Amino acid sequence: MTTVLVADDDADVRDVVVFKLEQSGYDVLVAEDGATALAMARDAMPDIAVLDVMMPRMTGLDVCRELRAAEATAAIPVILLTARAQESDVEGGFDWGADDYLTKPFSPRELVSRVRAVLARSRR
Amino acid sequence: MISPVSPSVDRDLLIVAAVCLAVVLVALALAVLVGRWWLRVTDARRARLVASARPWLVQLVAGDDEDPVVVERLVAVDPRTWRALEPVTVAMLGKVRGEARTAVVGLLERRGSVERAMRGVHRRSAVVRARSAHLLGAVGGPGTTAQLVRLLGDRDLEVRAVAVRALGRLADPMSATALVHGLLRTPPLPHHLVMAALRQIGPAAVPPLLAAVDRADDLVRAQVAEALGLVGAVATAPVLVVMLRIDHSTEVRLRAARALGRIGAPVSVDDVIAATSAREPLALRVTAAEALGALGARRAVPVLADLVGDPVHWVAHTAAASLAAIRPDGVAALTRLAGRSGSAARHAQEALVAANAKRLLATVRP
Repeated sequence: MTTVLVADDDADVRDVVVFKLEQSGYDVLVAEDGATALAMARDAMPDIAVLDVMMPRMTGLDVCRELRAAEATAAIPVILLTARAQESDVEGGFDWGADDYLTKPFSPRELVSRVRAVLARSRR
Repeated sequence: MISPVSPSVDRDLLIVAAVCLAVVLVALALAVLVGRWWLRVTDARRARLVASARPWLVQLVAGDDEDPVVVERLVAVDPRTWRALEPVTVAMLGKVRGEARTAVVGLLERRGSVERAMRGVHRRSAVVRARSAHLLGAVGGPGTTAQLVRLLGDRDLEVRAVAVRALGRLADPMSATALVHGLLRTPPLPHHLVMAALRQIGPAAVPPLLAAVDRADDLVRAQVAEALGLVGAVATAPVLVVMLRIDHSTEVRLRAARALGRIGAPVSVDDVIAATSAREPLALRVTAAEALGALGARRAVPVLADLVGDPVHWVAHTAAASLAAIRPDGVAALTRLAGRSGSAARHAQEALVAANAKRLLATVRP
């Protein structure tokens, strides 16, 4: 089963994303902050990570950078979730190897489509 | 003749006063403790109520198609639970869009929350009016803008502030004129909130702003200039240039210069350069030097390079920082200046170091 790591400090967003991904048949790992997300990614090696940009302890951009820096986790595709006001961060995210991004407010249906598309691209 | 007061009476009075004070302090401490305990109890009760229905809300928001069973469950939730769940539901509106948002709006309508909010804006309680305005701003829909515009004239400042925020969230062009008039009225609406709302409305806010550029009040004209810059309509650059050239108020000219920098219209470069002249007021010179950096025009480089040698520290400092923002010509000019001696060299060196540090911070992990 495909495993998705979801990291967001907003419980509402996190629960909606987790519900939607589980409903779509994915196995979901959940983290409430960046540092936990990084530790989980190193332990569980998910197939893809959906990371909020603004998180306590470690931002989504930092997690993305750390994932890319280690050989074992470098290939994990990353989708960033960002507020509209932080769209400038997306540029930094792409610099550090993020594969896609989605702005909040987001459409849960679109998120699943993006996850599918990024996974398909990464498996080619 | 002043009658002598016996020392024993004094002592008795002192004891009574001390006892009274102690009683008051104990009562206050008890009141604080009970208040805190009560808050904790009500928070816990609210959290329990929310937890009992929140999974259905998540299911409604994340579900593929609107599940009628989930909707009916949420519609049937008892009033006490709904009172606790309603703020969570309204908060969801700011986090999702598309079908998910439509489902939440549908739920709020079926629960009567929208209708209650439409009535709530007329209630005596300022808290209810503010809460209603917040909900209407989150939901939107027919008649919402009109109700919120009416609240711009509310007697309570907090309600007016919530209404401005709500209108910004809706970004309905119909509210632009009312928001601009909010800058003109006495007492005015919170200036920074109006600016943010106009920015969210965007180019549709330009016509009412242009209609206000000739107002007699200096502060209003200054705010209009600032708002035009925030809205970012390039077509308004000629108007801002005129404000920068001929307005008698330095504040207006200063904000026009800043707005031109923000808009980035090349047509304004010469006028912004002129505003850096030594004949102009210091605050305007500094702002114009900053605006030239934001404009990023290459032909501003020699002017800024001269300004780095200005005897006024703040002008020289700002000009150097602006040169650092103009790549590659500005940085090259700074590098040349840094190799010389005197205050210009020091400003140039500082600006180069600051620019390098900024670049490093962007790439190195904090």
